[in-house]
This record gives sequence, structure tokens and C-alpha cells, in this order.
Amino acid sequence: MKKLFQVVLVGSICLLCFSCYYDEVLDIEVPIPDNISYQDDIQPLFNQSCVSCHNGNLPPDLRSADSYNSLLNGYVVPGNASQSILYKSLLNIDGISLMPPEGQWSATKINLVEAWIDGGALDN
Amino acid sequence: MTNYKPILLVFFMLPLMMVSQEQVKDSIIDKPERPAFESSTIINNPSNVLFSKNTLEVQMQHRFDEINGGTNDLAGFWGAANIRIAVSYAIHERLTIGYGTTKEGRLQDFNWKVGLLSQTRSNKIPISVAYYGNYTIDARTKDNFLLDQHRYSYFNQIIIAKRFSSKFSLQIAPSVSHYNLVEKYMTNDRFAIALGGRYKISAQTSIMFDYSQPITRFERDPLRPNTSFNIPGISLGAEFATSGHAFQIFLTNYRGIVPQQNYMKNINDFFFGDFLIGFNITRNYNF
Repeated sequence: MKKLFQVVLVGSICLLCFSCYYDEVLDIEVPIPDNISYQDDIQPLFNQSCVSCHNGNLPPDLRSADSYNSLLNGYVVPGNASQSILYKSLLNIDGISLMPPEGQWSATKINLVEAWIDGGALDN
Repeated sequence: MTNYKPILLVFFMLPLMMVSQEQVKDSIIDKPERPAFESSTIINNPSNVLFSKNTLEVQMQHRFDEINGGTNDLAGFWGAANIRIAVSYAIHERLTIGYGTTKEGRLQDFNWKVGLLSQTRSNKIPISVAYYGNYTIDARTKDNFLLDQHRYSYFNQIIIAKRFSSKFSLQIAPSVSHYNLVEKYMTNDRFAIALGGRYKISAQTSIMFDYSQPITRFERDPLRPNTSFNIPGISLGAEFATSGHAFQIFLTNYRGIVPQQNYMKNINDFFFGDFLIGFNITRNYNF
């Protein structure tokens, strides 16, 4: 019993001590592709972080079959990201709740969505 | 008749030889005070309560969506919810280890609670002290993280509680939360202090409150100048407890369930209407 306790103690100290770490998010500007494809660039972002709640029960429906139509129904102003509710929710501005609620997206993802909207919000 | 004198002597001496009434009182063994709270959490913070050895506790914690969250959603009932299911097991009278899984952030937390000091009935030890710690892994997909170490966060808290009477208990709990990866305007470590308590209004019902105040101040995000990261957490609710269950239902502005998520990332302000309904259910199984 004593040996087991020692092993567990050393094991847990090793696990805990070597994983504590200090870092901050870097502003690495990942270049935005010239042609942003909705299906290949934007929809996967929704699939990762949004569809768990926005799955048809919570507007807008961001599942791949319905997301484009749902978004253009009041959440996106094509060509104008700063007026689009989708973009405002990613930045938590103008009183729009932060999306996703568990933590803001990286600047790269937000910029990609902004570029897509400003580029006309095409369904491509 | 001549030998009655020795007998009379013995009879007269007997009372003087009785010593039982003069015995020195045994020192009273000081018993530990009854637990300050009925369950192992006070709404958003852990309490000092540890269950007896070989008790399995199953916790189900649920937070509905913010009540002012935009659309008409039955006070958050139809909106996006956060939920955590956890089990903890008392491997020793003083040590409970647990594991929980949370929806928002896909957090997997490994926690332990250690009982350090126990309040006694005679008030010789006036407070109970416990330590709670957790190690949480964010289990979202790999493309959210540059390094695996960016997934980890830690929480350590000392809980000092006192049962003032059978009806009223209070606890104060300083803590430190650590996230390995934070935004530029935050520091990796955050100190905070929480005050929580309960007031029993009947044998099984009590009113609970929980106030959490972050101490380390964060700056504002330059992209979101109207959002403050220094807002305290306020929770108020009721608890219904039986011998095996405790059910807490409350109003709170904290959306997260794992404590460090609330202390580090909360942006909801209770007094601006960003509150939500939540409930905690715990059930103990004794083996």
C-alpha cells in the first residue's frame, strides 16, 4: 500500500508539474485565401464550433444543408461585415452575445468570416 | 454480642471508603461538528463538505441560456445550455477524487478535495478547512490548438467554512485559476475570492447564495472595449436536500461550471440582466 502511494504521488507530481505552462495567443496573421469558398472554408468552422447548439433547434440553423439560407435570412448583410449579426456575434459587439459562448474565435477565423461577408457572402 | 464492634466499625467505615462520587470527570471527547452544508457544491463553488469513505457522488449540473439572450426562449429554456456530469469517490475520510465532463469547451476535469481541518462541537476548532483542486483538459479538435499544452487549465482553492448554527453556515474561499494559454489582455493566473452560504428555512430546504470576486484585474480587449472581464459572479437560489440527494436551483450570471472558466472568462453582468437559471443535482451512493 505504501509503495502504491509513493508511485501515485510521484506520478501525479510529474504529470502536474511538467504541464503547467505560460503562453499567450499570438497575433500571427495567416493570409486569407483570395477566393474564399463557403463550403470549404466557412462551413467547416460552423461544423466544429456551432452546430452542437445551432442544429435546427436554435436559429440560425448552421448545419451544412441549411446554413447559407438561414444566415442570409437576417444574419448576414452581403458585402458589409460590420453590419452583419454573424460578424458582430463573433466579436461580441453592439450587445450581440458572444459566439461561440465558450470562448472567442481566433483572429484568423474571424477575419476569414469577415472577408467572406465583405466579398459578397457568396454560396460557393 | 461481644464481636459486634468490628462489624459496626466496618459498617461505619464503609461510606468513607466510597470514592465513586469523587472520581475526576473523564475528559469529554470532542466530536466533530455536523457538516456545514448538505452537498459538495455551493452553486458555483465547491463547499468544504467531504462525504464518508466509500461514498460515490454523482453530480449533474446544468445551466440554461441567458434570460436576455435575444430571442423569446422561455427564460433560456430553449436556448443553448451548458451541462456537466461528474462522479466523485471518497477514497479516504479526508480525500475525494473526481472526474467530470462539460459540454461547453468539451472540458474534462480531474479534481480532488482534501479535508484539512474539521470544526468541532465545542468550538475548540472553530472552522473547517478544505482544499479543492482541479486539472482540466479542453478536448476540442486538434486544429483549435497549436500545442497540446494550450489545452490545460488548473484551479486551486482553499475553502474555509463555519457552521454557525444548525440553520446558518458560511464559507470563504480564496482561489487561483491558471490557464496555460490566454489572450494578450489577460494574465495566465488569476486570484479570486468567493463568499458563500446557506440559511435553512426548514429541515430540508435552504436558501443559498454565492458571490465570487476576481481580484486580479484584466485589461479590456481592444476589439471589444465595452466588455469587462472583471465582473463578479452572483448566484442566489434554493436547495432541497434529503439524506441521499441534494437539488439546488438558482439564478446566476456564471455560464461555466468548471470554476476556472467562470473566474477567468466571465463577461456576464448580473446587474445588467445577463443572468441565467441553473440547477445542480447530486446523489450519494454509499458502499
